[in-house]
Amino acid sequence: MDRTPQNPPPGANLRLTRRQTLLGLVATGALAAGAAGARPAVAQSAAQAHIVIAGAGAAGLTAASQLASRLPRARITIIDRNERHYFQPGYTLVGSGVWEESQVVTETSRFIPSRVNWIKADVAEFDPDVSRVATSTGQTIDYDFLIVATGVHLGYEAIEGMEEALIGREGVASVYAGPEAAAASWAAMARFAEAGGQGHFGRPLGEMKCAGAPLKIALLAEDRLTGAGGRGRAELHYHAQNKVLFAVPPVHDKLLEIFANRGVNARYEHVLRAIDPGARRATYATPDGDVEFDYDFIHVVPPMRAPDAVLNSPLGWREGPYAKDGWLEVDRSSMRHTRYPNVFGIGDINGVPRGKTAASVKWQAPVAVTNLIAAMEGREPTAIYNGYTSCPLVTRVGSAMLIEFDYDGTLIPSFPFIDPLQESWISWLIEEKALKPTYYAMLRGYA
Amino acid sequence: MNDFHPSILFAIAQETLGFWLYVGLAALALVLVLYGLSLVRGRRLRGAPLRYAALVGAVAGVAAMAIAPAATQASFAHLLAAIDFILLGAIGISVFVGATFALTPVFALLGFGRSEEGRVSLTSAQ
Ligand SMILES: Cc1cc2nc3c(=O)[nH]c(=O)nc-3n(C[C@H](O)[C@H](O)[C@H](O)COP(=O)(O)OP(=O)(O)OC[C@H]3O[C@@H](n4cnc5c(N)ncnc54)[C@H](O)[C@@H]3O)c2cc1C
Repeated sequence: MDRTPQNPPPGANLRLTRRQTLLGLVATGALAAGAAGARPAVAQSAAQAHIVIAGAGAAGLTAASQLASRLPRARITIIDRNERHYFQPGYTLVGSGVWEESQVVTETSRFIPSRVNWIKADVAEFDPDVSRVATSTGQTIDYDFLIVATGVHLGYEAIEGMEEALIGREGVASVYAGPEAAAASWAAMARFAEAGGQGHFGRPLGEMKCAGAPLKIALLAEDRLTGAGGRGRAELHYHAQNKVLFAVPPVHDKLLEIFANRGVNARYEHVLRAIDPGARRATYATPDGDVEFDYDFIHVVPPMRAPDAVLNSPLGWREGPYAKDGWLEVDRSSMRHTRYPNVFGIGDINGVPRGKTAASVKWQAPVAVTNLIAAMEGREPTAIYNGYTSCPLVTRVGSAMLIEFDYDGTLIPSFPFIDPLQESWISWLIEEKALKPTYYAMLRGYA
Repeated sequence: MNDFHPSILFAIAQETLGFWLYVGLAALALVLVLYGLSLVRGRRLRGAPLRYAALVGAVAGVAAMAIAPAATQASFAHLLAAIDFILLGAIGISVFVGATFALTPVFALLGFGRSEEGRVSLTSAQ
């Protein structure tokens, strides 16, 4: 296997990530001299082509920055109507009152390299058979290569009685819908923390981004209840969609221990099907039929699927576990589409096991970009993504566990001295102070 | 994916500190100028200037350790792993070393230890 700097062994790179993060925090002054302006020595290519990127979120912006610096002669177009960029990993911190809403909002334009053409529209239609996309503003754009980075569609409508407008009212919270929803969720959580009552948490069936977030919210609510004095008046229930709390066995075991210590009741194979906000009642589908619970506070995580434009295109999986929700049919190692070789995928849209976190984007983007350039130059793609997924699992305001794993569910801690299964302040510090700057640097191509 | 490349570290530092990164860099440059000035003026850096700087540095280091958890919305109760205490110690030591380094030329230029210099030269003249 090629072990050039563009394609190092996955493990070697992973080992460096968090060190880089901490160094960024503590040694900033010493780094300055001569560093500004210079970029990492990644190979440039003289290859020419028109590359279209669908979606300017974490994945699309990272890809745009990397392509712009590595392909000086290529034409790059990015398509997304969103002028605001949201730091989604911060939603849980907004939703638990740690951050203000404004701390997760910035301008998309800040991260779009000057030589990248930004079309402020949605991709309405993908036609990979003729290498063309059509936008919601009526433009058709031909491409030589396409990167699909549209993220997910949040399917609140799939839960009967649920709509985004409910968030923050009638005890309904959901940090997934955006910064405003996260702030409204905090308002609902703060009321619950004072009053107590029945609190319900859980996650949907199928693939979802940051599967740790529903657990974080449950534990943060418990922490807030304790702090506000309402814990004794509250009962907390976490509804897992299958038979485990987390897909990685040692993490499941650790969570069981934490739940037991903090009195959070775990229920398995319970999937939220409907809510009745007037009556404050939630209905869960279980293998034994529907069950209903009254709630005073409920954190709703919507089912997720590919956005319509991808779902209705030939790009999604046609069979297997990712077909129903239209996830992009990419090879899980190369990030290349398995039927359309000039199409690559990065981020949440990919139909691969795990990998739906911003931290995954950091490892997927260079792989997709390197392989795309190889394809442009007529070479075989050799860069490999190993499934790296990470989510600092916040257990209280002040402590977290730094969980990192690969496709096999093997824990792959970046730092040998941070035990992934031990709650710690250092992991909280990484979540609260280091993730956002590292993420923004990634969007600027520094990954 | 060149994680140790200085430009990546610098980009993260920019995003972490924003404007304050440049204030910090300017302060670092100023400290280096002060060292140069001390040397040009023949000021001794060892002895009293270093002692005073180390004293202030120690206070700053202890203060940094005291406020570090609160600066992250946490408290000492959240220091749960051995590495948390090592990190806290590292923060204290970094602040101690940084403050001592930065303040030594300041105290030297302010004339701390000049009487010692005099005593030394008197002694050596005899
Ligand atoms: C509550 C929460 C907590 C999280 N916590 C963490 C965490 O702790 N750590 C972590 O690493 N990750 C976390 N994540 C996950 C992380 O934010 C995502 O994995 C990451 O944003 C994925 O990037 P993406 O570009 O694939 O999708 P996004 O960032 O969602 O971007 C998708 C973009 O595509 C655009 N788009 C959609 N449809 C179209 C279309 N048809 N045409 C053009 N553009 C389109 C959208 O407007 C959007 O800008 C969290 C996410 C949430 C919601």
